[in-house]
Amino acid sequence: MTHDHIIDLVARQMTEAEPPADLRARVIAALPPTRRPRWIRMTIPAGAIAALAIIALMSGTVWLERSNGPAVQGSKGPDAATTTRVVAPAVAEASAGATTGPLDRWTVGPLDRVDVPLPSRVAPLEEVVPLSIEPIQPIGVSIAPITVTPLVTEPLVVPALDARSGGRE
Amino acid sequence: MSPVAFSVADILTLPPDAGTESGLVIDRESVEVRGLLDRAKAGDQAAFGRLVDLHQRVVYRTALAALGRREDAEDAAQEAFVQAWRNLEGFRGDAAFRTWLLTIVWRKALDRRRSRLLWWKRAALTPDDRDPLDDVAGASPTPEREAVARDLARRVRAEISKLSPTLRDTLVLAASGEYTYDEIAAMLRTPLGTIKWRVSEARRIVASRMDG
Repeated sequence: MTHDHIIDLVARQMTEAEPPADLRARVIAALPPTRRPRWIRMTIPAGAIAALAIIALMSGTVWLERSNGPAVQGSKGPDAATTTRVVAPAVAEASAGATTGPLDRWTVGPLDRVDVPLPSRVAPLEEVVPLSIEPIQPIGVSIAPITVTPLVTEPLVVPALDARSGGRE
Repeated sequence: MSPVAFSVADILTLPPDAGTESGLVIDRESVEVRGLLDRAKAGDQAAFGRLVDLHQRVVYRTALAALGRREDAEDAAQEAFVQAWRNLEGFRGDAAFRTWLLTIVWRKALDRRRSRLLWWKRAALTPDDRDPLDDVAGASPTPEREAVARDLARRVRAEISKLSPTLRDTLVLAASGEYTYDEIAAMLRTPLGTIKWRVSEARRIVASRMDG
């Protein structure tokens, strides 16, 4: 008999024992009374996941509506300068009797650079004829007629620029 | 061979293949087990009780290998069977039911061992523990040889208990003769080659300490 045989023998005897006679009865007594069918156990987590998905979808919809709302009202839309440039031609066309359609585009082409020497005296603005614009599409949204009163301005005198300072004062 | 080994060989008259018997190894799932599994999955507790009958011995011994105390092994075995019942529908048959069950009981036993620090208490025998070395000593023909055999076997057991948990668990499971190496690998979630190395290493360490 070798060392290995002795070691194996002793090691085996460390686990050589019979289970208690009542082990089966103890196990059966400890089993849950009834086991739910698989489809019921699957339905509960599936329902929870579906409910969470619906809540997330509704929350996302509300969030999108809130985030898109201010943009329509102008806070996230084109800046004031762009709006002025777009509206101004439309107003000009309206004042000239042109047919105005719905304003569905905000894009404006690049402006040409014009090098014109600044006059030292600016003439007063011409008298503006009162302007009336028909309500703009879409149908159902009405805009009250806009009346612009004529402006009366005084002549503006601008002092000549000093060439030695390079215009930076 | 060392002088100690010679003396043991003179004293103990044991069959040379005593450590390699494997009477309960089940290579394939039997027809009976498959039928019982189907019924148990449908909620038949009597069928599951029959499965308990068929496997309680190996389950109990597995828990005992990890815990060392019978009371704890009984509780661990019971918990393992109950958990197996709860998870029965998750058993897909990729492995044998017996292997699946052994994996559960081994995890349960390790949980208990960690939580109660039984690993450290096991080194000392309590008065109500039956000394397995009685069987070894009983094979000796004379009182003098019996005393020597007892002493030698006690030393071997002490050295086995001093092994690291990893080596000791593997050695005890392999030496028990209840499991194939594949089953031990599945229980311990360790590659088969590592299991074989651990058994060899555990034997080598114990033998060297006995010689020393």
